[in-house]
Amino acid sequence: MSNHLDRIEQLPEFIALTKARRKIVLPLAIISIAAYFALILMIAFSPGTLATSLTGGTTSVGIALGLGLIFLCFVVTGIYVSYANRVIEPLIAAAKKRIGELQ
Amino acid sequence: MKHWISCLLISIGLSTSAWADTPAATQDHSIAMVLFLVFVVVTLGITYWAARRTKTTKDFYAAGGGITGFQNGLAISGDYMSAASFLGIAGLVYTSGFDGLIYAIGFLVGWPIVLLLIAEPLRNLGKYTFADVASFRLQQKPIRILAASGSLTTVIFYLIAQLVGAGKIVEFLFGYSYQSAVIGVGILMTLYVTFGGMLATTWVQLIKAVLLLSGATLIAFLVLLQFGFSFDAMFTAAVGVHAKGAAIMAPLTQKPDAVSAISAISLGMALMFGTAGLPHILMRFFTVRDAVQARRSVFYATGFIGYFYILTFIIGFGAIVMLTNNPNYFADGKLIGGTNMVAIHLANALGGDLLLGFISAVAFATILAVVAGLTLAGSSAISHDLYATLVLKGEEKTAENQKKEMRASRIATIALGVISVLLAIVFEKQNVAFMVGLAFCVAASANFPILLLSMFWRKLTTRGAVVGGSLGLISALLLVVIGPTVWVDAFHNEQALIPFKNPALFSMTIAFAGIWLFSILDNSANAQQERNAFEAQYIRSETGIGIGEAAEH
Repeated sequence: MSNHLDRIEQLPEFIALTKARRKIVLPLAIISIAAYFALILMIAFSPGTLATSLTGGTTSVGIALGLGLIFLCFVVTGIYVSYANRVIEPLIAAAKKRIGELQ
Repeated sequence: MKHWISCLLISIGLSTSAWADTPAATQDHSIAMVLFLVFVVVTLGITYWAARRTKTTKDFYAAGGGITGFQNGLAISGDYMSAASFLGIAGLVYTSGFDGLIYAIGFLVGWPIVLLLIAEPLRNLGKYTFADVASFRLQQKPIRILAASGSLTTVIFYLIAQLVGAGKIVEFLFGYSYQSAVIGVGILMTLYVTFGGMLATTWVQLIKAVLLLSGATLIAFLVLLQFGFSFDAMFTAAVGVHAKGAAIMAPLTQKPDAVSAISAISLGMALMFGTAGLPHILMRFFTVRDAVQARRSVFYATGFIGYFYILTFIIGFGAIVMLTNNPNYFADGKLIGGTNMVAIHLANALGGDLLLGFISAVAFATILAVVAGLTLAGSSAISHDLYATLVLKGEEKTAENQKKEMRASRIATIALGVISVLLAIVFEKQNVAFMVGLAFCVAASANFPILLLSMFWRKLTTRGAVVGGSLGLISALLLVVIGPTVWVDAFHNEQALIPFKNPALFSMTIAFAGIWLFSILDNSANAQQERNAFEAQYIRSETGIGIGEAAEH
């Protein structure tokens, strides 16, 4: 059993799949976490920056960054879903096909 | 079926008679009342329809697995957009501007994490609850007991907070007494879940999400219309009338100390990672066919939830401009009904009794849908994780055991309904604001670490998960109790034993460190087996191979 599974984990198709997933998941997760905690840390350590006017009007840098973070969440999920559908799904299909041939 | 119909009639009779005797509030509630009754009749009709289609455990827990990604995304956003977040965040923006926005963002940022780390492997490995995934290669009994404890703690605190809020909102909006409001909500949620299971709960959630999104869109549109769709013009008008002036455009605390910085980071962690550990949200991923649909669900859910928080932000600022200095909405210098009512007052200011009635009914629909989703998650933890594993010993494949498990989940639903209504009545006069924070903290400190590491960390063992997960659960509860929100605000002590309102930073660290330490120190034969079993699990979690067979169970 374990011998058989070792072979699946070492299949080039399976390795390509996990690599492709890692390549997109890690950077996007780091961007999301870093962006959010960067804003939290700015609130704690540099609230004055957030209070400055964005372009001379009433809208502050803080409000713009906050709304920007909401859009970042849209963008991150959009990028991942489009990449997963285009790149990861064919790799899953290829890995499944190869594993099916082994069994 | 006759039995079912009589139950339905009794409940309608009960709810109307319990409510009719109490005096009406100051405003005219007839529009809200009619719309609300339409909602109740439609949702009970759906429950009746769903009850006839709910025959197996798969129907009951996962709506048969036939929900589409788009529907599920909308249902997830329905589960997540509670009346507390609609009315509460609008109220928070009204009082503090920017700080309210930050709070709303905290509830959104968990969603990319759910998408990137949780949704697809969860769907590929699990069946009905997240404990299915956590116990995939670990020992069933201890892991399910732990996961069910985490789920139930999260669900009960969340449920009490929602019910107490519901009672107060209904009391204010419709003029019924707090107790009859809570009992009425409790009866309806129990009916939806007991008879209609996940199918009814999902459709109630879908209708509510559409109503809430359209209602909030309408108010935000009418607000922006006043300012020629210029955010800057709206902010300028708001700063002009707000008591705190331009300070609402930035953090109100301009000189934060180390304690408040740590508290803010800690709250951020609870919100971000707690989202990925909420049992009623995780359960929704089992209602779709496969990982592709699970992925699509989160994409739509993130879109709807983010859009909704932008709307509440606009509503909050609109309320600053339109309600401040408007004597119609103030009594003795205070906003009537408290700041949680700003969205409701704003609806009245913008669209008169008609919009007020619509938004009130939407708020009520929101409450009902959210508590129903929570109740279903709680009863699944009892019937699927505890009863089916401990009493039926996991032999649920037989038709007889499926029936037993279904009966157990219905009894659990009724028991949860009764317990949560009683607790909501007990907690009427208490400050329950900490309970949602506590629910997120437990979800982030117990459910999330176990789930994440069981899916991705090869060296995890049962011992590590049980010891670390329990430490996370206990430390989250304990640190909240000795912190300012319970020790001072609820128990009225002079000073809290720790200064942090949200302890997720500490309890999550304890959980992850505990799981890591007790896993790597575990040299038992079981531990070795569990590590070896990771490969098969990993292949399934990456590819979805085997998911079809599991779904047929």
